[in-house]
Amino acid sequence: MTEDADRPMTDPEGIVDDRDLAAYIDGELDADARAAVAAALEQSQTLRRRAGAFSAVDRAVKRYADALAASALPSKICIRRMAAERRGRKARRLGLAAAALFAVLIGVTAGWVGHGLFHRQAFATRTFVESAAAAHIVYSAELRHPVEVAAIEKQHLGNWLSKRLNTSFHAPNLTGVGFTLMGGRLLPTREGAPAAQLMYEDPEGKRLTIYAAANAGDAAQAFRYFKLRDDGPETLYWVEARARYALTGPFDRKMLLMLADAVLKGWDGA
Amino acid sequence: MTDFLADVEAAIPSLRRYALALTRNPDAADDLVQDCLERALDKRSLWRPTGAVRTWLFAILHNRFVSDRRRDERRGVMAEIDGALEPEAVDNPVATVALREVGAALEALSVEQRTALLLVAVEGLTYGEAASVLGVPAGTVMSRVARARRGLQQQLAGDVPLARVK
Repeated sequence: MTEDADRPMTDPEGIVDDRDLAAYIDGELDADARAAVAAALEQSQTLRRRAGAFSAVDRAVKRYADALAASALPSKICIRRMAAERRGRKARRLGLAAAALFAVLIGVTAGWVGHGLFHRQAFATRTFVESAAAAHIVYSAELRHPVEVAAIEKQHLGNWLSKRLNTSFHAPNLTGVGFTLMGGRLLPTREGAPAAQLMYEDPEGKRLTIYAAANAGDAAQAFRYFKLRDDGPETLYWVEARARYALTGPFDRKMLLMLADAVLKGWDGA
Repeated sequence: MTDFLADVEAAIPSLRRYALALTRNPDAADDLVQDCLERALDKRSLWRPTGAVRTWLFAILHNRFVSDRRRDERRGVMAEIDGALEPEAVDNPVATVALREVGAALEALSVEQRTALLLVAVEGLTYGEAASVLGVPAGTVMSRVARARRGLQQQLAGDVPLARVK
C-alpha cells in the first residue's frame, strides 16, 4: 500500500486537495474546516467541477450497487429462521447434555447408595458372623447344658425356633456326614432380634453350630468363609431370602463347605 | 434479544449489496452474507450494544471476505470474469451500458479503495465506522475514498460526460 504515503493531490490553487473534498462530501469536517472548503468552492470553478464529478461518481456507484442488489433476497438468508434453528439445535444439545448429566447423576447416586449399602451390608455381615462365632464359643464349650431344648424334642424345637425367627428353621439330619443333633437354643442378635442356634456333635466330640436370624431384606449371598480370630472357630456364612446363616465349628473351609452342603440337602429333604 | 435480531434484519439488504459489489457473484455474495449472519449469531453474546450492530456486521462480513480472498489467492483461484454479475437497468440499454462501465471501473480499483468507497459512499458509514470495519485509521479511509473517487472519475470521464453525470 503506497496510496497513503503519496503526497495528496491539490487543486491548481493549492488550497483544497482530494482528501478535503472527500471529507467535505462525506460530512466528516468540523465547522471551521467545512466553512473553509465551502469558501474555496465558492471561489474556484475548477474545484466546483471536481467536487461535482466526485459526487457524480458516488451516485453512479450507488446506482450500480443498487442494480446488482435488485434481485430478491434469497429465502435462505433469514436471520429469524437461522436464530430459530439455532435455538432448536441448542435445545436439542441441552436436552442431550441434560440426559447425559442425568445419567451421570444416576450413576453417582447409585454408586453412593451402593457404597453405603456395601458398608452397611459388610457391617451387618461382620456383626452376624461375630455373634455366631461368640455363641458357638460360649455354648459349644458347655458340657452339661450345651442346648436349651434337647434333640429329643426335635419337632418342638423346630416349631419353636421357626416361630421366633418367623421363618422355617428345622434341624436338618446330618447323620449322613457323621453329626448328631444335640439340640438348640434361642439367642438375641446384637440388634436385639431373635436368633437361633442348633448344635451338632461328631463322634470325636467336635461341635458344629448352625446360627440363623431373619433376613431384614438383603439380597441373597453365596457362601463366604470367615475366621475372625486365629484361635477361633471357622465360619461359613450365607444369606437366603428369608434368613442369614452361619455354620461354625473347628473345621477347615473344605469341611465346612461339605457340611453346609449337607445342611442344605437336609433342609431340602425335610 | 429481539432488538438484536431486528437490527440484524434491517442491515441485511445493506450487507448483501456490499457483498454483491465486492464479489460480483450472487452465489458468493449470498454465501458471504449467510456466513456473516451465522457468525453474528455465534458471537452474539460478545456483541455489546455500545456500537451499531450494522457496523459490527460489516466488520464480520468484511473479515470473511478478506480471508476468503487470501485463501483463493493461495489456491490460485482466478476471478471468474466471464461469470461476473452485471447490472441491468430496467428497459434502458444506455443506462445498462453505463452501469457496466461503472462496474468495470470499480473492478480496476485496488480492493482497498473499492471497499472504502463502497462502505462510505454506498452504505453510508462514517470514516470512523469504515475504519473499524477495515481495521485501518480513519485518515486512511479518507485517503482511500479520495483516491477511489479520483480513479473512477478519471476512468469514466472519457465515456461519461461530466455534464451528464452532474
